[in-house]
Amino acid sequence: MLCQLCNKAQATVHLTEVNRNREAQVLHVCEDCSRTHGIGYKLSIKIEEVTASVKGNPLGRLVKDVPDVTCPSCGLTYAEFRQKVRAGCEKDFEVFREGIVPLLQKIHGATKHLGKVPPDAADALQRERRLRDLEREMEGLVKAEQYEKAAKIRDEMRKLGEEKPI
Amino acid sequence: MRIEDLIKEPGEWLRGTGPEGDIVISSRIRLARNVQGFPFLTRADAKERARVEAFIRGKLEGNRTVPKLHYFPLAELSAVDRLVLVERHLISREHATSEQNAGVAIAKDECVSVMVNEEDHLRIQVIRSGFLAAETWDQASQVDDAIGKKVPFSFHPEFGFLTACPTNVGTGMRISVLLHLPALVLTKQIEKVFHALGRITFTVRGLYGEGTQASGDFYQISNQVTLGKAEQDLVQDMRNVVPEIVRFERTWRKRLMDENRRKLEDRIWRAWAVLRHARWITSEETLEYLSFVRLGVHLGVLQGVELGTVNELFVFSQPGHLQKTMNRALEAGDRDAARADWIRKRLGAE
Repeated sequence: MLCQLCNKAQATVHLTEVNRNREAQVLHVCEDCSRTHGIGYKLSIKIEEVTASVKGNPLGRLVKDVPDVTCPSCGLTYAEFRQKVRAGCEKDFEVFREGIVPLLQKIHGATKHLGKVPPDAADALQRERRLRDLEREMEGLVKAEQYEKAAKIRDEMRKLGEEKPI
Repeated sequence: MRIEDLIKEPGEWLRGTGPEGDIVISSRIRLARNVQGFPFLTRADAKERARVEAFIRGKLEGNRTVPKLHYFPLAELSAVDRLVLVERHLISREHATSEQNAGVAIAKDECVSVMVNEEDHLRIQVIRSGFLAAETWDQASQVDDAIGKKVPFSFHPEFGFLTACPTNVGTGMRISVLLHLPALVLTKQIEKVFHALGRITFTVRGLYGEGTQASGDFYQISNQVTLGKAEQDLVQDMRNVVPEIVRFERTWRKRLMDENRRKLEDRIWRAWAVLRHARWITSEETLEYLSFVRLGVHLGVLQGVELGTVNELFVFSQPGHLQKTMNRALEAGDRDAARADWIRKRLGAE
């Protein structure tokens, strides 16, 4: 049977929802749609929520109005991205960032990569991560009014190449 | 290397010699990667697809650090050849229907395959026999590193490896384990497995992911989430989950033998009998009977039947392999007759 959301692919995921009256409702979706809507990932998901979000567009009320920008590199518009839920090139992830972050949160329950890094990106990324860690540490110390320690962290951050006022 | 060479043997991972081989058929890791500076395949026109393919092919063929990979442009393969590759899990069904400028690079032992221009520019796959999640990851990571030295991958410091579909972003990794769970199906315990897996964001699918039911009691378990967890975490999740399922299946196999031995033996022997004497058999039926035969061999019910023979039957009774072995394309009806003949011959029966 065809996926009830996109009507294109075969349904291989079957979401069953049982209400208080013990009535069961089943939604049949394909693998793709199931991942995009976080079915199988979320513990309690309402079929109504899923179908409503598809009627308008795949991202539904999850995303506030993001301006309809166009990627200067591949020409994909944000509207097209929302409709197909597919990126056109690597630049899209910055151009459509405002819409992509909540989408990633919905699909993966996370928005930051914690895994392997290709060698040429490794140094820059390590520096980036260290700076974020130091920043958090500094904020904590400032809150705790430990300004001397905070100043030391600020100096360390300066060495790594970033200016941050306390 | 040609497809003809491939089909002479069942292929490394199909031999069934890996750890927990009575229940775990294979462990597989797939990494999705795109090349910097090229549009994704969702936006690339034919010319750009050709450029990407040529670029990657050049880097793969000249690469001495990767195990030697042989490149097959899909356009040069017949429909039957492509089906053979699908049946060996070397390309996906989608890839088999690709337009121009798509290909696959395969290592001789069939443990490594790299799809070019499927949904992303590269899909690196390592597949091993039995339950070898950590080792499979080590190998996949090495292949990834070796290719990454020559091919600059699209990577974002915050989002990780970039892919056309947001569901693959981050690690780009799908880890799957193929399990044979006949006892859990027979005793209707399989639902418990589904529920338990759903809670930890794993999905369960039938053998080739089609329809609502698994063929031959084979289930593929994979992760759903690719972002926010490191690759080792995803491997560890699998290492936490699979032994539990294996234990569960073994428990119920034992119970069936203890409490329902005669009935179970009957089903196994009937399956064996049909395979040895049928004159007309679909691939679906074959899978179902082979599932019992496989169980029978592992339980010691079917003495004198080699596991290697069973594995061979699995592979070569499938439509692509069958047509390739007989060296001609066959319509569905003729295939079902040819299949029955081939199986009987292979089992030395009338």
